[in-house]
Amino acid sequence: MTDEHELNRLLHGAVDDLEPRSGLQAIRSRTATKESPMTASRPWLLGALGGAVATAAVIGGVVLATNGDDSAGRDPGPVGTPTTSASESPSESPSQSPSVTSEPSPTGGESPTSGEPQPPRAVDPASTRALPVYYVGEIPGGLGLYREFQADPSTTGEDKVRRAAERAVELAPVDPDYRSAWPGGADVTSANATADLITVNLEGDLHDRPAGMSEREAELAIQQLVYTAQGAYGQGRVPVQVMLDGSHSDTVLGVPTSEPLSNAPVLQTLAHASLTTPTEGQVVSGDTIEVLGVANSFEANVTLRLQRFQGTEVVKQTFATAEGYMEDKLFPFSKTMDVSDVAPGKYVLIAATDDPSGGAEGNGPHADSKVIEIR
Amino acid sequence: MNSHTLPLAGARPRAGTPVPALDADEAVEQLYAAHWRSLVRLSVLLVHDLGTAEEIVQDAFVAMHGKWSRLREPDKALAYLRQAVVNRSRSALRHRKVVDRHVAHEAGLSRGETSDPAERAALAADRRAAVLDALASLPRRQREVLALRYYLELSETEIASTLGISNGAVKSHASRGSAALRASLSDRLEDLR
Repeated sequence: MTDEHELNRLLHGAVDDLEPRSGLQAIRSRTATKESPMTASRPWLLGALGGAVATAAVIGGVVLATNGDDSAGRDPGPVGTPTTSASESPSESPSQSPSVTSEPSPTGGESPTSGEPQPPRAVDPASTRALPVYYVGEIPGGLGLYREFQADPSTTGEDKVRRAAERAVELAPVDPDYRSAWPGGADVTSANATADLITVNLEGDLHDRPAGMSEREAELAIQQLVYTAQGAYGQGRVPVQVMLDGSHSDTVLGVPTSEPLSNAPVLQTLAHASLTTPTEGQVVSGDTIEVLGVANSFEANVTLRLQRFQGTEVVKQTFATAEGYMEDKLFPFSKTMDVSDVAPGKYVLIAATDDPSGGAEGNGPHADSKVIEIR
Repeated sequence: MNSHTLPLAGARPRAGTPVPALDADEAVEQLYAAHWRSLVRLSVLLVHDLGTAEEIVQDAFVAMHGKWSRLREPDKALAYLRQAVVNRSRSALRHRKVVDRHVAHEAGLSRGETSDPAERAALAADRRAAVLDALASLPRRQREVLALRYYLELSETEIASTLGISNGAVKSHASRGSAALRASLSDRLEDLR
């Protein structure tokens, strides 16, 4: 070993495992140019907005215990059985009422057993299940994870953790606003889940963070896997052990992985608004659009806007009220949007968090959008 | 949605395009996301203490925010942050009358090889202490040059401008510093290999 490398390793070895506490809030409070009277009364809002960036310091941190406060496994707001009345109801679910339910399933699972989002274009429409898959997309101030339900061609649901993880790592999302943070050549070879531990095995040249990938992105790649595996397994926040080529690895993409990983804090990792239905490319032929999603927004207010595709004209605007806000989780919301007086054509449906400061605080609202066709 | 941009990567305009109007708050957020940890760790190498390092880097960010109208570009702001961290680490050391390195040093020397996991973790902490201790025993310039060169992996020129010294001085501090660090750690290098 050369002297250079040795010194390099010595200095890195001395401090690389030190995790500084997040300092962004403190910096913010010291650099604030104006004091808003609302700031004090809405600490959670500040926290949420700051979190998106502050999380760079904590994502990927090794946490051994599952979170005690989401034992119901609802986090991040599983919407249970997404379905839509705006298009044909799935015929293979006789027990499914035509009206939408956004209730989380009692077990907290994230795999709908009846009904599912309109199958994404690229997947088998005969499928009867959906897999939650997390992808990276833009959020105010940086990158965050969005959940996309993808139709699952498997009829048995067997090995769903592996199949969901495979999609997160290897396959492109249906929504072009998202992408996988994983480099090409990454493979999910197996997954195994027990009550205490989900193990996902990867193959590929994945030990170090590739040149050109930011630390935040590498951490989000790992969290894509953690959230997806936990969501597909549906048993709450079970820690995820990431393995490389069949063995433990000190790092994957440069992120420490020698211990099982917990999901990073929800509000610092996930987009604060995520649409379940309508799905990207969905064709709506009825008088209403069933809008389902999860959000964490000021006073649980979620703004829904229907805009002309590639335009800014808002043809419809309404609000949905999520089941809660403030905690470190996303809450389901649902709204039946009347589109009976909307001309046929291509539209963008946007669900956004409420930003009463009008962008004066933080980075502005979170938003998720889906391109749909109204006939 | 546009193709996403990473912190900093997206903030650097191509030649000829107008500089995007990144405001001071956004600059702080971007640089924080990308560099908070490495700057804190750099400061730990210089001041030997995590809590102090966190304060120093926080201060540096606050100062950078105030100077943003002059800096205007993330690259310049990052260079400013490094400089501020090194300078503030230096002042922090000056104010701390006693650097308590003997305790850590004693602990480091008292432990031998072991295969017990807990002991190994303790040993890792000892190694950290040993390296930090050896760094603390170096002259200030040598310590700064080594940290910038071998931790942040800056070029000679970048180090020179960060510290406000010549390239030649960087070279000589680096070579004397490595030799001194090596001597100080000689008995420990074997098991760190």
